[in-house]
Amino acid sequence: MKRRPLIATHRKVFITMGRYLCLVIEVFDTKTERSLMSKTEIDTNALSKMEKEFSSMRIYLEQVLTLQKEILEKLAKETEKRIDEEEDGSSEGGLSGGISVAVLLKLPDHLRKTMIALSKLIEGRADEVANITGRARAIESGYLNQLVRLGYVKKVRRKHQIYFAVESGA
Amino acid sequence: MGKLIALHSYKGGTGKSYLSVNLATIYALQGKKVCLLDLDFRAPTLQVVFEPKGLKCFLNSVLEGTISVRDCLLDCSDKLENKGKLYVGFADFSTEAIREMVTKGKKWEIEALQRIYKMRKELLDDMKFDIVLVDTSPGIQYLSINAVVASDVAVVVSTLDDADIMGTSKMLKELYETFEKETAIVINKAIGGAEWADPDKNKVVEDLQNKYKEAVIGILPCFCEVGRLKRGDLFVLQNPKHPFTEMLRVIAAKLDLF
Ligand SMILES: Nc1ncnc2c1ncn2[C@@H]1O[C@H](COP(=O)(O)OP(=O)(O)O)[C@@H](O)[C@H]1O
Ligand SMILES: [Mg+2]
Repeated sequence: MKRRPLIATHRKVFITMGRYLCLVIEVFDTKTERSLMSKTEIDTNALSKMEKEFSSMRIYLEQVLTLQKEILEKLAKETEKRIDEEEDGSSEGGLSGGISVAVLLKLPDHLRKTMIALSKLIEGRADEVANITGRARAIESGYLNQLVRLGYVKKVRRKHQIYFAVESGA
Repeated sequence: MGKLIALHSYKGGTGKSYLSVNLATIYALQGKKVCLLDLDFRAPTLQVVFEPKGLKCFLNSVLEGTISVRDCLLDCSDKLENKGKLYVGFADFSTEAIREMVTKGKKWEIEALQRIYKMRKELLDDMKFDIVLVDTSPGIQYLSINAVVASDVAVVVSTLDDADIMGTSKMLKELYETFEKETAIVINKAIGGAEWADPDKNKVVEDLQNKYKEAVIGILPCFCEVGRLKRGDLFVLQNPKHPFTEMLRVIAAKLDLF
């Protein structure tokens, strides 16, 4: 897991942001005595310093996003692997697809919630599932795709929109 | 949007069927469009209450996928002297059908859960029922809890029997919490007076109430006159001022808030 680099990068973001905010106060806040706004000219030096801090902040934020995505993908792969292994051990006559109480109990908590929400809809979009679970659409979309890979859900394309449907147990 | 309420319990004889019939009556008398389903395939009961004549279709076939639930409901509003709208779906009470249910395998289980979800959607979205009450079999077999899983709210009925309370607590912890079920608990047949002074039993109920604080929505005493009536007589309809009816009305109102 890339937890440590993630935390370190987060820290860098906050330090840069702190420096940036100090500059903002220095340049724009007229309440502090040191404010440069009262002067006729704003120190261009300060402005370019701000720009520099700002762009390094952006770079760090992008790094955070990439690291987070990698972690999420790795987690998803591990869950799939675990369920696949459990399936192999217990499958009876290669029954694929379809959900039963037994399958629901085997799913990790986050996927179970998604699966139950989709079951209520029978068929629906990620945002409709998100409406039921109260989680973000992007997150539900990720979980639904995981359930597709596990064989419990199928994807249906309809008028340029992606719908998800519960696999029939046949 | 209406909701599906499943009545369930750990042990049998706690009053699930009795409460589901009377709750259905209360809701219907309030002007709601109510559907009552018997999904206790191992001990069907509603046919004794509503005495349907020449019934050809049972919910068993709906779960087999051979018929839609819409074609399997009987308008029983006349039982309420037409003071409300009540539709009932029955379970096949023939000996063969009951035996067959016990032998169902994994494939049927998967299909049954999906068909219950489908049934829920059809009743709530298409037929626009305000309340669908489902009577289930007691216990934690998958056959019993399919309806619980597909419900919007589950009502767990328990008596004060220690074995019942212990089993109920375990079931809540292992099953209901896993499914993050919206759960209400009703204690039924609570014996007043001397029994309440029993410190052991008091402690058990207290524990349950502490653990599932908002969840215990009613404690119904044992009323001899409730047990004495025939199944076919709807208690809350005939005794609108009886304390049992008043208490059940409070329970119905609390369930509305879920
Ligand atoms: N509060 C109560 N006081 C007295 N008798 C009750 C009460 N609640 C239920 N009963 C009786 O208990 C018996 C079993 O109830 P029933 O609803 O069939 O249980 P279940 O469906 O849980 O197996 C019925 O004869 C019913 O009349
Ligand atoms: Mg019963």
